[in-house]
Parts: sequence; C-alpha cells; structure tokens
Amino acid sequence: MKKRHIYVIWILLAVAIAASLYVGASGGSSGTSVAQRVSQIASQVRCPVCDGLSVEASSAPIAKDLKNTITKDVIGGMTLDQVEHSLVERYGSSILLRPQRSGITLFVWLVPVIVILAGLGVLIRFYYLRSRRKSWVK
Amino acid sequence: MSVRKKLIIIGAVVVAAVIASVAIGASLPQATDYQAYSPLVGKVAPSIEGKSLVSGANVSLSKFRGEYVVVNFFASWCTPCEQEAPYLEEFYYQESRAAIATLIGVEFEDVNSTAANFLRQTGATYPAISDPGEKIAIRYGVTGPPATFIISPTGRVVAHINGPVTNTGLEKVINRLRRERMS
Repeated sequence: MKKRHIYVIWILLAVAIAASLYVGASGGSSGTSVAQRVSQIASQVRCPVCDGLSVEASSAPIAKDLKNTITKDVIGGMTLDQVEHSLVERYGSSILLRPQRSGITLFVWLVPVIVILAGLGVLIRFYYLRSRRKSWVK
Repeated sequence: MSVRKKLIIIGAVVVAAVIASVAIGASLPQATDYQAYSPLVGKVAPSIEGKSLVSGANVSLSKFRGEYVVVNFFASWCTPCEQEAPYLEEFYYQESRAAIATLIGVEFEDVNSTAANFLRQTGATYPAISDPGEKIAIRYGVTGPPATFIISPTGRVVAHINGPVTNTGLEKVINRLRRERMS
C-alpha cells in the first residue's frame, strides 16, 4: 500500500510538471480581444533595436511600427503562430524572445522534458530498488 | 555495472552531445565575408512601391524586372549612410548606364523633407522613396540603416549586406551573381 502511494505521488508529480510545461510553452490563456492577442504576440517579439526588450515593452519607433503590423495581421485573421512565422521569415528566429517549437530549436523545448522524465525515471528506480531491498531485509 | 563502464558511457554521451552541437551549428545558414544572413535570401522579393522623396513620382520594384536591383535602406541621421552615399551614386551612374543594375533608396525612420534634403546634399540621382510606417522595412526584416538587398532579374532576393556598402563591393557581388547565373 505504501509502495503504491509512492507511485501515485510520483505520477501526480509527473502530471503536474507536464501540465506546467504545457501552460508555460503555450504562453498561458490566450486573450480573446484583438488588443489582448496583439499584446500577447508583441510581448513575445523582440524589439530589433533594443537590448532584450519586447516590442510590447519598447517605445522605439520600429517597435511601434512592428506592433502596428502585428495588429493589422491579427485583425486580418492571422493566428499567433502565423504572425510569428511571418516575422521569422523576414527577420530570422532571433526576432522571437523564446525559441520556436519547430526545427532545430524544438530541441530547446524537448531537452528539459527529456531531462525531467529521465530524472523521474531514476528516482522511481531508486525508490523501487530501495523498497525491494527493504522487503528482502524483512 | 562497474564504475569504469559507467564512466565510458557518460564519456560517450558527452562526446555524442558535442558532435551533435557542432553538426547543428554547421548546418545553420552562414553569412559570407561581405554579405549578412537574411531569411529572405532565395525568396521572392517583397514588393516595393512608393513616391519619390525628391520628385514625387511613383517608384515600383516590379518596373525593374530583368535587371539587378539594389535596394538601400537609409536615413539622414545615419552616419554610415552618409559615408556610403557617394559610392551608391557612383554605382548607380555606372551600372544604370550599362543597363546591368539599378538602385532604389528607401527611407528608414526619417522625416520625408529631411531625407529629401539628405539626398540633394549627397547628390543622389537614383530614385529614393518614403516608407511611412516602415512597412517596406518590416517586409525586408530591416533592423537599422544602412541595410542593402540585391534583387535578381527574376525578382528574388539574392544578397543582403548589413552596414555601409561601396560601389566596388556591390559590383563584385553582382558580377559573382551574374557568373553563377550563367554557369
């Protein structure tokens, strides 16, 4: 029973981590209004002339122009992925503050998941072996 | 599993990770000596249309199909743009006479009257247009002036140069592109 409890706790922990990663990767809940969607996209687009600032946070003229372009694209019916793709096609992937979830940069998203899963595997194995050792001793 | 075996496995994993990183790095697009990386290179050039800053006449990239077009993003407040201005004019004079290439200037984050004065002062005779809202600059992924793109006679972006250019530098790139096209 105790052993089962440990497994349940580990599974719940794994689900919680996976859910957190998913929410983090998807950028949380998407806004419904145009302004919210524009703000959401603009906060993920790097201001090309600033140091680590997003288009949303910057007051540089090119940042304002980029935000206007994003607004027009969103009004035109483009999704977050389509707007990001269109910017990457012109500026390259460095225009995004976080790496894209495709191509080589997909590794950046996958590596933490793989490391966490491997860590969980090692922990589960450790506890499994320990509990087995205990049962032998008894 | 012995400690030695474990160390061998860890070593092998580290070596594999280093090899994979180097391979990924090598597979990424590289810029050449004079040219800078742009995801637009090889793709159809985004359209360019606007009013000439000096004459007010309509200027369109599509009118120059069949020849190389050098698109130069400039601003009056940009010192390297001032430095490259005489070279651009020299390039335009030589290449447009030979009907090999032409040049279009596009103002970047500037006031139209100031940009027009800059063109007059630097003796530019090539067509240069205003870009309200930096629509053209955003289509070309320009982050700041000077930025130069070369469009092929078929309308594709074939080169991108970040920073000031010279007439000889541009001619070298265009001559190389022409040779590649003929071979």
